[in-house]
Amino acid sequence: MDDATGSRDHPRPRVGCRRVTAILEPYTAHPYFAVELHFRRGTAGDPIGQEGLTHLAAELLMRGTRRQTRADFDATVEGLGAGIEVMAGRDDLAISADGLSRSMETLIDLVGEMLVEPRLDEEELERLKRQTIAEIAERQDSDEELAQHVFYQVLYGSNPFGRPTKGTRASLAGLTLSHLRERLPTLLARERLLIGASGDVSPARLESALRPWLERLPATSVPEAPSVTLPNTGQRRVVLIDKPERTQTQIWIGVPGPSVHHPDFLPLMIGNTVFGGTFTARLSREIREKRGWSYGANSYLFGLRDHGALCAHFYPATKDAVPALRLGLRLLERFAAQGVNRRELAFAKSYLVNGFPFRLESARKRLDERLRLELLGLSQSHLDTFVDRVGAVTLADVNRAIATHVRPDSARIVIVCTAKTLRKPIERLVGSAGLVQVHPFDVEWRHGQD
Amino acid sequence: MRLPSVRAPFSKTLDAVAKATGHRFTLEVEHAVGGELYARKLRLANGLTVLMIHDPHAPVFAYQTWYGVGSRHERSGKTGIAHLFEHLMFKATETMPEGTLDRLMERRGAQTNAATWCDWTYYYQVLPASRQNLELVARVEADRMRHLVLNEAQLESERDVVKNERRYRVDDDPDGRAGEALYALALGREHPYGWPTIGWMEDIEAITLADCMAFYRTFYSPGNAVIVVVGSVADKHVLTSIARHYGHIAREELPSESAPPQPCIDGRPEESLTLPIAAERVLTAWVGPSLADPDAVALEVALEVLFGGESGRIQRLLVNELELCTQVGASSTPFRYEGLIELSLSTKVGVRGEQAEAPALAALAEFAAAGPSTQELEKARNQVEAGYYRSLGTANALASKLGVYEATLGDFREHDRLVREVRDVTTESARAVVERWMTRPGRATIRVRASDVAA
Repeated sequence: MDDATGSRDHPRPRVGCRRVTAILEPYTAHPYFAVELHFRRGTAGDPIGQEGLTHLAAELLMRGTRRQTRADFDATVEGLGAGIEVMAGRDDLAISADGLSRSMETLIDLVGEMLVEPRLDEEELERLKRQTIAEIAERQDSDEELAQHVFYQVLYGSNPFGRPTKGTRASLAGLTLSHLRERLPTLLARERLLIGASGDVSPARLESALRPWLERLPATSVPEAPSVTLPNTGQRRVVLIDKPERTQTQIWIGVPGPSVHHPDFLPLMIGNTVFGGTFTARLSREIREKRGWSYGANSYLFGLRDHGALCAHFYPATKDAVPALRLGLRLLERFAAQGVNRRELAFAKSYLVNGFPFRLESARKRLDERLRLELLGLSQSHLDTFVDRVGAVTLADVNRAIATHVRPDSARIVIVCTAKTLRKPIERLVGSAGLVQVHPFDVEWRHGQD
Repeated sequence: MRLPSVRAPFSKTLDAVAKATGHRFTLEVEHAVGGELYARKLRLANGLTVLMIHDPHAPVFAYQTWYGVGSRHERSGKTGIAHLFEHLMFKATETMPEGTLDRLMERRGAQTNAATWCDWTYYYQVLPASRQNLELVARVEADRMRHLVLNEAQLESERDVVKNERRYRVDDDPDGRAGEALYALALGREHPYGWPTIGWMEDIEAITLADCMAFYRTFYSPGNAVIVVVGSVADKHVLTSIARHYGHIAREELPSESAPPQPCIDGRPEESLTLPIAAERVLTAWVGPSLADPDAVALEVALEVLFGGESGRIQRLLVNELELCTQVGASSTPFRYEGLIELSLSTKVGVRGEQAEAPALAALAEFAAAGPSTQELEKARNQVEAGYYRSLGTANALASKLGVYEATLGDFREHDRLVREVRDVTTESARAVVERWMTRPGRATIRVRASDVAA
């Protein structure tokens, strides 16, 4: 095991196999461990018309190996008291496994077996496609999930990041085993692998267990890096997802934001804390506390490698939806135009600095933070310097970042509601500066549709 | 209860706290937790219970206050008051104007929230570990235990928030609607476990300020509270802060505890809901054991064998082999008194609930006849053990685990009963417990139909 480049406080040993990076966060108080394998390639790389390809490929890994049927594989893993999950994200494919440390070697062998010797059974693929199509249909049953799903696609427009990760009924129908066989080696290349482990696990044990499997992964794969920029059209767009019998609405509002590498990201994070990041932030105070219009009213700043977004979410009753939307937009406009004041800045900085220890509270959380930095291409010192960097941000920095990136005139808005009640008042609210579109809840949103 | 001997250094801590504050704690229990940690249970003269664990690994500490009051303690026509009142506890006290509490906590980076269920209500703060933060949270929690002030405007604003929470969790959510209907059907709308913790909408609308203040005076007192502190804060500082801020609060008489009526499901009642959904649901319930019931551990093992993970028998059968469902699950209510065992099936689009229900019940009957295999039993044991350690991830999670058992059963040591007793479960005891509880004639069923399928 080589020594790594990290500090003594945060050792970053590398597994001594073809220089795959492994980040370890040991915690030996409990006989339990977790390991994560992240391959830096995800669903954003699915070709047009083949949406869902990476998701299917990842899920099929879980459905048996050359040595074991799916049922045998599941019984073996779960018999150990362990679990394995795969998650095909937009820009990474993650395999996570956890269990009792006495079974670590056996569990890692099973993870290796599924990566290197997947069964890729035709019958299982067809079953998986049927099940995925059923899950897609079921999404419409949850207003919250439906709203989020469409919101992401509306926010990203025709960008690959907006493609539905699980695909569509049409795209899934066209995917075959040969598509998956072609896709898997490009996903599972060793050069794109990042490993993390936490709990009762030593570097030597982890390396010994992983090495034989890592050597059998493909070393490299062809480059594939979709460039991601979010559309900033200067026109407000509202999509009403029309669902009958709603007593409540789900409202999402989003604007494009900077990536985590942009110098404005941290100032905007502080600004978002003031806008909607806490229970006492502007959104919650005005929409929930003063008026009781929504159980929750929050905003989030998403930051990824090459783009970001600032999004607000609240869910008022149908009767309050129009005034709540009007107020939410007014708050966003005021935030963009006036920024934050000195008192709010001090409060937000105090909240972020004092809350920082929670990010390092447990071995699992420390690991998550360090993996996130690595996946985003940020240095490990980014975390260690967080408190100082927040302290150095000025009021001018925050308000400049807000003025530069928060463009309410380009807001993307998705509302799940019963449209016959709300369409006209929302059209009046948006006026000629925006576009209001109604989409039936039980019809799939088509990626990039206008 | 036989108590372990009090070790000398800790008795000195108790002496020092008594000398500094004028209030003496009585040590009632010491108990190892999760391998290397150690929990102590202590009590003040006014009845306040304190559980604490010093965990040097965490740079934070969790401070939780559990009150022995939940929706079970409400009465018909006033359902939802325990939960609505939980919201009101974040308003104002005699010394803290509205909004102060949240701002005080957020300025220190705290994570705060609360939850209400049938047997309890709890409030938590998680803060960076420091003596100042500990002192602050003890002062604030002691203050709102006895000095809350409310007005009509606060009640009305929070009533609207709660009505919106109900719309979000129940009225516009098919699973929420089905779950609420199941409990009302199986136990009755008038049973304390049969009405929803969030309350019926008409009751939420009818709760008055006088109702809230009467509820507060009745149930929010030291003798009905358990404080759980977990993290890297010194025992002496924990006890000193708590004694200083709570020690003077007078003991209050609590209403006598009465068990709810014994649940009883006569025959096989059924109801249907027709909703704009894609996938039908079937929810079935039998009367289930209490959290302390001798059968509880064997039942958990049996449910793990039948429904746990991808290899659970009924999961595998209905989702993977027959492809009738997208999700299946079962659980037993962790209540102080007998509640329900719920079975839930979400079918694939186009599949009727009855098509999935029949093989599920047949698999249950088969299990009740033959029990699990040796491999299945070992899987369940290992899953229970791993699940226990998985659940101890943070200071707040550990505090919650202890708090829920202390608030529900009066003994936090029960939190690891499942792990301690899981190796005692045999093929026969797992089989017998399913036969005893899940093949009874009394069984209630809710069918959620898709609008177009049911038409």
